[in-house]
Amino acid sequence: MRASRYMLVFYASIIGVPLLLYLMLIADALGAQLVGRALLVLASLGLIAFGAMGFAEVWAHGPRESADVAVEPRRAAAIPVYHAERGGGGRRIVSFSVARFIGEKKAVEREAYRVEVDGHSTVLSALLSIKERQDQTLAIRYSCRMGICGSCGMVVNGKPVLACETNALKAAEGGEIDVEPMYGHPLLKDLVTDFDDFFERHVSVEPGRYRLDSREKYAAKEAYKQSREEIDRYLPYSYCISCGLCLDACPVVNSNPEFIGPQALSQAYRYHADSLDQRGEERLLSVDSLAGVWGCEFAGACSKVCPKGVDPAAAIQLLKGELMKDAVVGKKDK
Amino acid sequence: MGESIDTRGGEGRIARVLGFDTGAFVHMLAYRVLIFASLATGIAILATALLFQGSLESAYIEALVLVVWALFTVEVYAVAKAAVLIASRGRFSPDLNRSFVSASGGSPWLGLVCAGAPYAATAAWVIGFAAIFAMWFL
Ligand code: SF4
Ligand code: FES
Repeated sequence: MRASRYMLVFYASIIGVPLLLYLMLIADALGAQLVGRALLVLASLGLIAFGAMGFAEVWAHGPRESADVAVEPRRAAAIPVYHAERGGGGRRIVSFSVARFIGEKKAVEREAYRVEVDGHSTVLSALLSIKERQDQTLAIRYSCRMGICGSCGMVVNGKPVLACETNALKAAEGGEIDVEPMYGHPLLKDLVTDFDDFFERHVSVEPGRYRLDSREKYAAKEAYKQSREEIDRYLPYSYCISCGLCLDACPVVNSNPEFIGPQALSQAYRYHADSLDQRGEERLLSVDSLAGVWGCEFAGACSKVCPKGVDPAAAIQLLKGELMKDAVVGKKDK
Repeated sequence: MGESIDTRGGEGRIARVLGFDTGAFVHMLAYRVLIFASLATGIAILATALLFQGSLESAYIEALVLVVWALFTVEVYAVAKAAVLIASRGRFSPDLNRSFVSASGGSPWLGLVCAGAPYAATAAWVIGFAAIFAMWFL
């Protein structure tokens, strides 16, 4: 059976149980105790269906061994502070606690640094300053330094962010700046994570406009026109810079790496909503599984951290809506 | 750089969101507890009614229903939010790119209704909880 048909029962129980309980409340309030109890028995069936399907949704992937990393106590900075504190110009020395993943030891070692920053410094520029002047072994990935390439994702003070868009002085307001790698991706070295898995997920949804006539792009007879409204259906979802912050934030990806994750799903929706894409139902069905859209529990953390306002959580709910509609009314051609 | 190491997997990892989104953590946790509470409550009601021919007005059934009712609050909010997102094609989501939203226009009133609807549904659900608690236990 298609996952969306199975999930229809699940969602019917999520809506049905509260409705039945509420009707029971009204029946009780009106003194119709017998009706109330009958509704309660009906609700119990919904509760069992909800519980059993919820169990399958969360634990269908079975137990999974994750690599354990030891967290070593912090050691003192290897090299002393480069600058002494200077007054004026908003410059000040801030402390960093950097979690460095050491692959050979399978351990995270905390390293303390102090670095001078000003109002324009970002966490990335401060880390680069540490790398240039204090510790050349610190591994960081970055490229554009302006929030475009999506390379510098890391966890600053507990939140996945782009380091190049995070103001260092602001981050230091609570005291020390805490920097960690994105544990929602495999770890490579220090703050650098492995994105192979991320891009495989992305590619698996075939993120590109599919045309039935594959030769037409070489001999187009007319322009590919779209109205403003058609463009608006997918435009915000096309802002994705593949930074991977949403995967790092997603509690489902963190606990069940089989779930394809918010970025790939938002891109599946981006192309599904594109009037020029001709993959139609096939694209929808490719994510109709527990490892696809139905793995999403709608915690919404992905959308909270997305630096581009892609709102992957919304895209996934829209995909769920399309799939449920498709499961009820059948195949719909674009 | 050598081999990568994957630290993902294991239910404890859901706690990672605590650093920046407490609501998401509550959502995840409540759902997991609700799964077991739903199964226990559903089975208890059915067993009491069908197997033991007992009264469904007993205090333990009512207590279980109240627990489920309280835990369902999170789901009611999430489902209402998802329904609004689907109905509005995601246009009024508070997390959508701000410049896109302001450039593409849309009625501010509709935006307010969409933002308020999940809270209204949750409020109705919470009022129901208070009412049934008062009816059964006070
Ligand atoms: S959806 Fe947002 S957070 Fe996720 S990869 Fe794309 S830009 Fe980054
Ligand atoms: S360095 Fe390119 S996004 Fe930060």
